Amino acid sequence: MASKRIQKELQDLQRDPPTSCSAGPAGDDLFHWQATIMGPGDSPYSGGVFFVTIHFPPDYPFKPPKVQFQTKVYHPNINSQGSICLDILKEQWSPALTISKVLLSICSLLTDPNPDDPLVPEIAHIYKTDRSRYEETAREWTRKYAMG
Amino acid sequence: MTPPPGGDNDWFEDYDTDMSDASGHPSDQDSPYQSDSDGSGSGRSSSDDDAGDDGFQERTASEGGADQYKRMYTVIDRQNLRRMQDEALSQVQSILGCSTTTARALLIYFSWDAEARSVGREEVYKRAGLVSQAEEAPQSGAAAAAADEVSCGVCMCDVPRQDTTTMDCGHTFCNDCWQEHMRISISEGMSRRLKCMAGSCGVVCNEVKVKQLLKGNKPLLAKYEETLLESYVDDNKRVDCTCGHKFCFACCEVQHSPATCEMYRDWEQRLRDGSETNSWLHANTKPCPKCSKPVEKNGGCNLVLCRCGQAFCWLCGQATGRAHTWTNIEGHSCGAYKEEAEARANEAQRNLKRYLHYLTRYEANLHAIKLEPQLRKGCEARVDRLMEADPASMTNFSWLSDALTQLFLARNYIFAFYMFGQSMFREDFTPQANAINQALFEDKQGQLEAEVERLSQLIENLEFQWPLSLISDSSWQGLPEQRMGIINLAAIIDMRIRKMYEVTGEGAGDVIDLTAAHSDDGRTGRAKGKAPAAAAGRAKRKAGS
Repeated sequence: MASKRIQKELQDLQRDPPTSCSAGPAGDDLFHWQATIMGPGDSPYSGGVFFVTIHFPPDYPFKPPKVQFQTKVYHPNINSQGSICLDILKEQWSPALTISKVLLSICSLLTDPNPDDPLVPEIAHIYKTDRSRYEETAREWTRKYAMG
Repeated sequence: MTPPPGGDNDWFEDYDTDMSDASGHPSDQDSPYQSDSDGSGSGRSSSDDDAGDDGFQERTASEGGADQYKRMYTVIDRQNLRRMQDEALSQVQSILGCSTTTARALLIYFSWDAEARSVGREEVYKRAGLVSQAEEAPQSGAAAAAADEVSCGVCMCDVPRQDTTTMDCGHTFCNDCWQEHMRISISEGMSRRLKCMAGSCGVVCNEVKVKQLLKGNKPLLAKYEETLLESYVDDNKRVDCTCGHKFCFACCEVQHSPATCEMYRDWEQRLRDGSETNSWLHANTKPCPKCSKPVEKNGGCNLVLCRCGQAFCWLCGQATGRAHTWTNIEGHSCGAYKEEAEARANEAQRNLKRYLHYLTRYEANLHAIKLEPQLRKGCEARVDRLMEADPASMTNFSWLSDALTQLFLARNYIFAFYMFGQSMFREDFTPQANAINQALFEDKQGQLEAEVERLSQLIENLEFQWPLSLISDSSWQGLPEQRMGIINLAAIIDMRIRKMYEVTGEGAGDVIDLTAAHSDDGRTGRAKGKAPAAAAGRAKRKAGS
């Protein structure tokens, strides 16, 4: 079930790739993917290329995939290990969701952080109280870690 | 034994009516005495235990006709459980005119609380993950009009329509996917909120359709049904077993009403601080604000979802909505920053002082409880010996066993009231309201304590003044004065406990509205409106922290 469905998703992604991201198996293992996300133009992450690993559990799609940033990101909902706080990757996961939808959701999370449910409270605090400082740091991190 | 299906408070209402014959009969929560309340009174005869031994019968009506009082609980077995559950279901069905599935989903969502489900229907349905009938019909009609082949959104295959199932929300997936989804959800303990697979749908799967789909998998179906049945048990409050053990159904700890599970847990944790398990639990779990069970965070962000379906914030432990958009958690913000941290530090100091105050009292009471079994043994031995000497005179001593039962009962309540007192102060009350609450509470508590002490003393004295040679003389008429004193005192204590309950409210801790119960005192400063225990989902984090 899982590998069949992952195959299908892969086909769909290749046939109709999303504009701001790409994804595919990292090696021979179909359950271990690598994806890239382009920093959204209207965010301080603009211009950056962010690498993301995706691990499919054996009971995928009934369990959510594990998605982690490999590139360092300065964001209230992404911590230093690259863990992402995203409801659809946890309790709001639905078997009808796909990797391409997940990646798109991550893109919108980059544009619109959710400081009220922070994974990194310090960044959320700065985001709430001093937006320009947040944007500046995020841009700096993007330059430093997500470009070139 | 559990309360009747009507709701959390019912058992206590029953308790109230019991009091109409305040002739010194204690409430019969103590089972050795309870099982033969047909008048023999010693609690030791075995001949009439048959009804009680299988334990699972309602023993109410069958025993001693004159004895209609004090049946707060009944022990229930699987059949009775099913019957009670069905009663609750049909009650809701008749009110809302909905299907069994809908009724069950509603009741599960509201922890089988009768009152909560009477809020606005659309809102209730939505919160419980149900499709109201108005929406139901057109959607299923639309789905039926579709083609013969359906593309399943989960396995992404085209499947013949007859191999698919459409849930009440109108979402169709193939049976294989449904079955797999249910297998995983059920084995993870999510039977109660088995949701539709569609993204952000959240509608609870129709029970009938689930059973249909799981027909081929008997063990899984059995587990599903069991969990549905168990939800009724899990969510009800307080239990006495036929073996005499009393415990709280919600948290499986000893009976602690009126203190809430949270108050009890908090109290116990303080008492046992340092124990390994507790420190682990403390370090790694947070109690769910709805069901109070410890929840371990298994990864991800700070929005944690308990098995019971309650979402809460991992940082502050407060219940939150599940709606969890990019910009916020529904109705929640907890900036865990400095001002709050400071306020918390001050509060912690106040709490510590209060805790020590109640702890001293609690320990004194604990000591008394440890001693009292001896007292009971002494009295029982005497009654037993008397019974041997003259079986006919046995009935004369039921008052004593009743009084003893009342005494132990009261001691246990005092326990719970201490826990309650420790946690009754609330941040969101004005200091005046808290002060009035405290004064009233301590006044009542003090009176109760004094009377319990007096009763204990009287019974103890009785033992000294009650030489065996006297009792074994069949012409001996007892000690009328002491006897009356004990009967009256037991009745008064019974009433005081009831009063305490009026004041605190069962499942209190959400809002204690002492002033409301005593508006005749002409006091003002009424605390915030009384919230029903149904608001259990509300965070009570402040209490006792």
